[in-house]
Amino acid sequence: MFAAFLVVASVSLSYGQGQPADQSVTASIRAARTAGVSETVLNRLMSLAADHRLEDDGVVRLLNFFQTVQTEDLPIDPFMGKIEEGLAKQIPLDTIAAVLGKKLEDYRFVRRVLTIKTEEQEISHQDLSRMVGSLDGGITREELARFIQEASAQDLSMLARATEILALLKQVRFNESLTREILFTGLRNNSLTQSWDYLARVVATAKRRQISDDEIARAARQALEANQPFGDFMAALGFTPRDLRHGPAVGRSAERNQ
Amino acid sequence: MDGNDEQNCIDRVLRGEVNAFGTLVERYQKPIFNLMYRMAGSSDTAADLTQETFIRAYQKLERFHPGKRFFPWLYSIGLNLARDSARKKTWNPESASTLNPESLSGCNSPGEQHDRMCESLEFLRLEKALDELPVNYREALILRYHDECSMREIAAALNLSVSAAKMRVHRGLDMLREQYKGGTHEPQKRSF
Amino acid sequence: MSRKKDPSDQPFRDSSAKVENTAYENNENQDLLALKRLIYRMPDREAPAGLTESILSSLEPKTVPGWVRIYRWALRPRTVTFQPLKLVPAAMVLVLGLAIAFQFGPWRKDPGSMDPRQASLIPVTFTLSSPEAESVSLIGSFNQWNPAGHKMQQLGDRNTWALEIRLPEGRHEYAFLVDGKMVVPDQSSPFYQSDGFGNRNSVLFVSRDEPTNI
Repeated sequence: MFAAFLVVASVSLSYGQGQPADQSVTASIRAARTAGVSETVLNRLMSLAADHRLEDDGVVRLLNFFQTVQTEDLPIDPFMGKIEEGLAKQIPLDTIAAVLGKKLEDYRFVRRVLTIKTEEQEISHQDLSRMVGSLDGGITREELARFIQEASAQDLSMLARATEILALLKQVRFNESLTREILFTGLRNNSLTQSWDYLARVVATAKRRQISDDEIARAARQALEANQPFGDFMAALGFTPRDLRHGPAVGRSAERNQ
Repeated sequence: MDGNDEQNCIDRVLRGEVNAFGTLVERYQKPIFNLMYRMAGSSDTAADLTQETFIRAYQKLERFHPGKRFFPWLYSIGLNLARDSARKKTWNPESASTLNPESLSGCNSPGEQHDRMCESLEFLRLEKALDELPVNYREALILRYHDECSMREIAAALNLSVSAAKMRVHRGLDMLREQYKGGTHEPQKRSF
Repeated sequence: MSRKKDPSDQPFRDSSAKVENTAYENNENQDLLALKRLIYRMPDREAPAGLTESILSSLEPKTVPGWVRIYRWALRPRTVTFQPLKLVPAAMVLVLGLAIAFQFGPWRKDPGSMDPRQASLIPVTFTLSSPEAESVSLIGSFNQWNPAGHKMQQLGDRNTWALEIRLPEGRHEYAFLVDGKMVVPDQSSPFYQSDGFGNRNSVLFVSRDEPTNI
């Protein structure tokens, strides 16, 4: 697709029309490639541009933006995803650009906070994106910075998980100070492992069943202090996996729904 | 002491033999004490923290997973403790030096004395350079090259993935080389 | 053919007389090698005398329940030796049992129809109640927000739209695109993510593991 685009661009140039816009798109592609933006990403962007009939100056703008992201060693995928999402939702390009700019600032902010805390910048792109994602989940920058500063965590992946859970529990109106207690316990004991990604779902269902925040927190803290499996925490609240099914049906849904 | 011996020790402790824990204390008090000294800079504080580390490990011993090596688990308890303590207190580091005049005694020849002094100076320089590194990098290097831990063990001790542990060691070594050669860099803030 | 072991997973070994270099370490910068040796030989401070006694004197003997000790014993890795030929009858029974189960089990699928990559994905059914809609598509982080290919089907009651797709484990963001222009979150999901454009996307967690398949 991208190769075809280049052929078309070069053919139109060779016939002497020499449109400056094409040249600047080409130059921007070259600059982005030099900065390290991958061919896959460039192809994806060019396909999008063709599908949505973007003007050249819009394409140049996006390419220049990607160059910035790449130069700052930030993950490109979340930004590409945001462009795809915006175009699918028929959002004007100016608005998409503004949202991209804000997201870039969010990444810079989180990175700054982490640098102050750990004096190291080695966080994986995935973990960094997770922390930035919590800002879209309803956590303010101040709340996130304070949480990161106060958390005892040597493992940044675990800290990233904690920030995500922080946002999710706020969404279901779980008591905020109990949230912090649970997460700090998990971080302190290095027990907030991957299976705890599902904590917020369990909490949401528990609250619907009128189980108090205190009781939920007590069970979670106990399990995290003792490094117990997540299933034990669920069992302590009296849940089986079947009880927790809500939202889109996960599993052999087609058979169940018949 | 191999893994089996350690496990047998722990089994005896869990059967009520407190003194069996002494074997583990004897085996690992030096690296834990040195960890605490690096963190706190004071012998007294390091001794207190070392004691507390072993006590906590003893209290949690049922939760220690059989088949894993004891030292990384113990180490991670100690490191957490040291970080928590740093947050609560202000430590007063003593001026630390590996340049010990007594280490020069017993040298029979001026040449030998000179060699010993050169080596001590090298260690002093190394110690200062290590001290300038962020804790996470410094400890990864010590665990790898001084305590002879595998990457898996370092990952367990520092609560990282194995690939993150490898990155720490690799980057830590680069940083150490800069500090060791340069010696003119601004000292970095200690981070816990 | 055995896999080559990653040398960095082994403990670093050194002696003052000779460094046991692996081929990997032979390629390292000499400075770095010298530093590693120096770290290895760095003298340790001695722990204060009497530390062991001081620690032991503050400990009470443990009274661990028998079942904990048995559980820990069961967790210990063991070297198992066995004579393969003695296992053959048992193995044959196992294979036969599995063959029967696969013949008659409710999960039996035509082996030709299942792409091995698909087999590792987990089925998820999305539903939306929208009687006025002319068309509904599912868009999300799993399909690059592209509505094509994820058109939902209107069910018999004409109020509900549904679609089952297979997703990898993990967290996914999604929304419904109604009539090609209206973005609607999934009311049945308690979790959201602001999209920055003034809408909210819904969030879904997909897991293979039974205890967390929620």
